[in-house]
Amino acid sequence: MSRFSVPTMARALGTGAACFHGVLALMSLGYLIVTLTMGPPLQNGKLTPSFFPLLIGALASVLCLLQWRSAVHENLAATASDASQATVQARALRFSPELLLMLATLVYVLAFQGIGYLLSTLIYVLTVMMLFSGVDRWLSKVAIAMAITGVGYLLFQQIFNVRLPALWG
Amino acid sequence: MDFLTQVVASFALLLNPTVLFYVVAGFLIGTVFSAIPGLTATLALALLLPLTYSLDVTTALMACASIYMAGMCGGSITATTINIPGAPSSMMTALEGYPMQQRGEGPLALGHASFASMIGGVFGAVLLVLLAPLIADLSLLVQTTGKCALILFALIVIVIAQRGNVRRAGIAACLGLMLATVGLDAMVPVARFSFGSGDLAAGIDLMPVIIGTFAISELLTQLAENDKALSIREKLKGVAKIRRRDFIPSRSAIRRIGAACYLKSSTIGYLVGTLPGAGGSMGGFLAYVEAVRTSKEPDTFGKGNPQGIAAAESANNAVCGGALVPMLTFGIPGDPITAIVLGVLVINGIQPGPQLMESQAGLIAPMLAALIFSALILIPLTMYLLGPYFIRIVRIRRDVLFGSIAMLAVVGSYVATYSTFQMMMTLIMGVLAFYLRKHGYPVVTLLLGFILGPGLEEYLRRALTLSNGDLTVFVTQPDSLFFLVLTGVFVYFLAIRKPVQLKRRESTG
Repeated sequence: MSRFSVPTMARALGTGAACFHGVLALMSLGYLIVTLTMGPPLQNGKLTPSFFPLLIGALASVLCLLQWRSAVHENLAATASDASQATVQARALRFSPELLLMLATLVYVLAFQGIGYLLSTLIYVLTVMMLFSGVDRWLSKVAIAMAITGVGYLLFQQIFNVRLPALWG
Repeated sequence: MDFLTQVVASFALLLNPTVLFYVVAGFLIGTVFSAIPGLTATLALALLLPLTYSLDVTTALMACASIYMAGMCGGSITATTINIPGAPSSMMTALEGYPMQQRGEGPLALGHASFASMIGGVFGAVLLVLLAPLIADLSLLVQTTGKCALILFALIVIVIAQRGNVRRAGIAACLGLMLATVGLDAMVPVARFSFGSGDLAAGIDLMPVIIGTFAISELLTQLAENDKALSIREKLKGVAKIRRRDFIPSRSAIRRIGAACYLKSSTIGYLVGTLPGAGGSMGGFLAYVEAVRTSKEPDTFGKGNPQGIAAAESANNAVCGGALVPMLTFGIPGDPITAIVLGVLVINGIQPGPQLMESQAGLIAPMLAALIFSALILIPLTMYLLGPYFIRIVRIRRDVLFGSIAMLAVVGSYVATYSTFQMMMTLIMGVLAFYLRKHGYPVVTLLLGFILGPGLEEYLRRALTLSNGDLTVFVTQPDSLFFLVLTGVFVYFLAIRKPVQLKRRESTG
């Protein structure tokens, strides 16, 4: 590994697959550490609740670390060429609609009980529609979002008797 | 009353308009979802899962069966018309269907696909009805160590079935197992990984895992691939109008394909279905390869030979019957759809396993009746009545489709406990599954790990407690030894021998 410079190493560790595999490896290690704090896997000749998580945590950590290692190696080879560095930079600058959808869903979940089903769902559905097809012809999209929200209300509240939260009452 | 009689008697339930409505609606939803490239019947089932809370469990299971059957044949629509399989199970259909479409015989190709799906679907379901009670009786012989070895066998086979991706599949399975350990321990009243949260101490519910893994992650994936999907929509616009009379294959064409082809392919599909992780695409592929191998005119394959369509489609629909065997007899789902069906049972407080066929025959029999009904009546009827409109249905606006899916997925996850905690769990699972899929991890192993995890832990701990920690109990007990040997055989053929053969072939050029 020493034949690679520090910036190249940093790029290899911090981009794309290597970064994700690294997060998974950290999660598995975290799980393993929490398991270790739960006590010994065997007590008085009996298996304790930490036995199975210990097995799984150890296996997951080994597999994740191996996966992370091979991803870092692949990245090191890739970042060695200028062309792939450019791709990495371009990818980093790209605006991600997926992230926006994640954020929109998070806001929707947080607002769901506070402002009620109707208003929160209307805004959420409209946002999802606009993420998929842009903001043009927004008036027709508002109408469709209202229809989808209404159908959802009928389906859950009226047909399947689910108590949906409301803004008032 | 024996099981066969119960299944026959269950057809009477279909005379109830409400039940019939849910079965037909389920079939249509399954067909549309499997016809749209990128969407699957699994997604349809995941979205409809919350609604089963309010439905009678028999009706819910019958609707699930019809969605499952529809999911296997709906993919042939876009596979034939635009050479893009709507579902992975129709990959081989595209090889023959699209050349037929190019020479103006697209509707006929769809007719062949529909007829073969009907044969395969009925064959698989009938074989399931006949054999499942026998396998259920055998499964009663499996004791605690055997159950543990069986679950281990299922998990290992599912992981190694993800060829070229085995390590990632293993990690995903481990993640599923890890998620399954959150909450109260099954044997000692101790909360694990709850970090002081009451919600986490109750454990992670199956529903947010299913909806997050299949609906939210699909939504994010589709958004990431929005440009590609728009070009598919453009392609669909260019498809010529389909006339109803062009669908029906002639008797001579069916005779040329031969009864042996339909039956052999259906048997292959059924057997493949019983294996964990294999699925419709594997069944269709093997049956297609067998049809080419035994054909007198192998050169005609790949150029629009209806025999190829018949082999692939009869096999992938027969998979439905086969895949339900391990789920109903051992409580082990082999694919995401059977995992969701299992979820419906669990949600309704029914514990799947060896006793299921005996104690809950009244629930299982109608489901199998719906499976046969879907294959025998709904497949040909839907193709004939709605065939000309399928292309128009599949061209549905993506923003409308995904706006509706988003609403159904997120609100649906609220239904289980009336708490936003489940909605948040759904989002977290969806984001995790999205990034897993993006980096080539098969999320099906995550789901199956989550579902099989509690059973694996319970039987492992019980077996070791009963044997005072003696690990040799797994090789001294005949049932567990059988499954361990079976695991070894599968590992050898799928993970050791095949890759070595492939490497040798590559090196010899």
